[in-house]
Amino acid sequence: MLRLRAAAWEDGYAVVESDGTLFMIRPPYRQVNKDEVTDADLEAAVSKHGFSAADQPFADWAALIEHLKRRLMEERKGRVPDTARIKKLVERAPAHLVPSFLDRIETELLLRKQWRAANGVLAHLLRNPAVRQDAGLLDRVSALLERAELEDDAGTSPLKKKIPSADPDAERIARHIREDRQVMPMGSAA
Amino acid sequence: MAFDSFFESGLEFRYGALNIGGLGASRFGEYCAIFHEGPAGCIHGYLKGDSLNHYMAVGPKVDEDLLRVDCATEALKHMLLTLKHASEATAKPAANWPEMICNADCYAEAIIVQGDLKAARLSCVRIGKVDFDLYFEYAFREFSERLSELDRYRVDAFAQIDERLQALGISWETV
Repeated sequence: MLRLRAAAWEDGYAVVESDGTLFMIRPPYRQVNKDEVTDADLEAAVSKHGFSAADQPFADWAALIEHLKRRLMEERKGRVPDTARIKKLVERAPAHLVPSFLDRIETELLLRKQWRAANGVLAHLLRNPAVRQDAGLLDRVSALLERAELEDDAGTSPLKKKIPSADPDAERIARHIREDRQVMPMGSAA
Repeated sequence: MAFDSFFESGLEFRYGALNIGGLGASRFGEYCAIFHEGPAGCIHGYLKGDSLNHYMAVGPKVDEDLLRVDCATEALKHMLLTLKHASEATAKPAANWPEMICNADCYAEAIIVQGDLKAARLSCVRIGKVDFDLYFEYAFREFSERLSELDRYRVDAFAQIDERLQALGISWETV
């Protein structure tokens, strides 16, 4: 039997008692997100860290986590996650992650004919400083854009037919990279 | 509340921890804001341990005698930490001292007055490398699949923090 003792509903953090031991858990609720805590920690969570006291039993961890997830979304109701803001993170992805993104565009998105997704990621990567500053990465982005374009020309991509306005700069930017090895025309803002 | 109320302006207290590297008292959050210190810093004092764990007696009331010998000003915090960790520190390489001084179970508590917490004093925000990379992974997946609502809320919160830090010229540090 589990007992929820305190929670920061908006963040999904919770103090849970399991067989007499207290644990702090947090999203995404994996084993590494579960720490044993003391009674004083529970008190500190409520008195210092803004947790709400609770006293609610749950049959198992799945039911408890489902409850925490539901409460988190209720607390954030009206603040719907912003898809554009989430996607824009790709423009700031650190350099060490970019090669794996490009690998997956090649081995997952293009193979599955997810043209729109591939095009979207590549367009955002073109604005990523880590890509702009690395000729090798720029070449790979350029090559993948070119490949997507070729496949589109071959009629295997419905992207242009369905969404003529999707990432209109992508082809032009890819051409610049291929021909001039630079992202933007000379003299434009960085 | 009993600890806060013991001090003048105690209700304005906010609590941090002395951190010389690492994720700090990570059980209370995945983000660790690192503040500059110095003569005009926002830290008003340090305690050898957590205020509620160590300095509250039955009542509840503050154990003032213990508190008096376990506190230090900004200028003397190194002595407080030396007294606390002397035997342990000699047995560990210096590279392990950050984890020894501040971890999920043990830290020297920093007493901060809320009004003194200014963005200009923020040096960086630390986050676990696994969590940091995971949020960019979520951003990648947002193009091609439907993330769970919980993950979308979490990555959107990260994106908002990232935007704010960029605007302030403050960087992440991953650990």
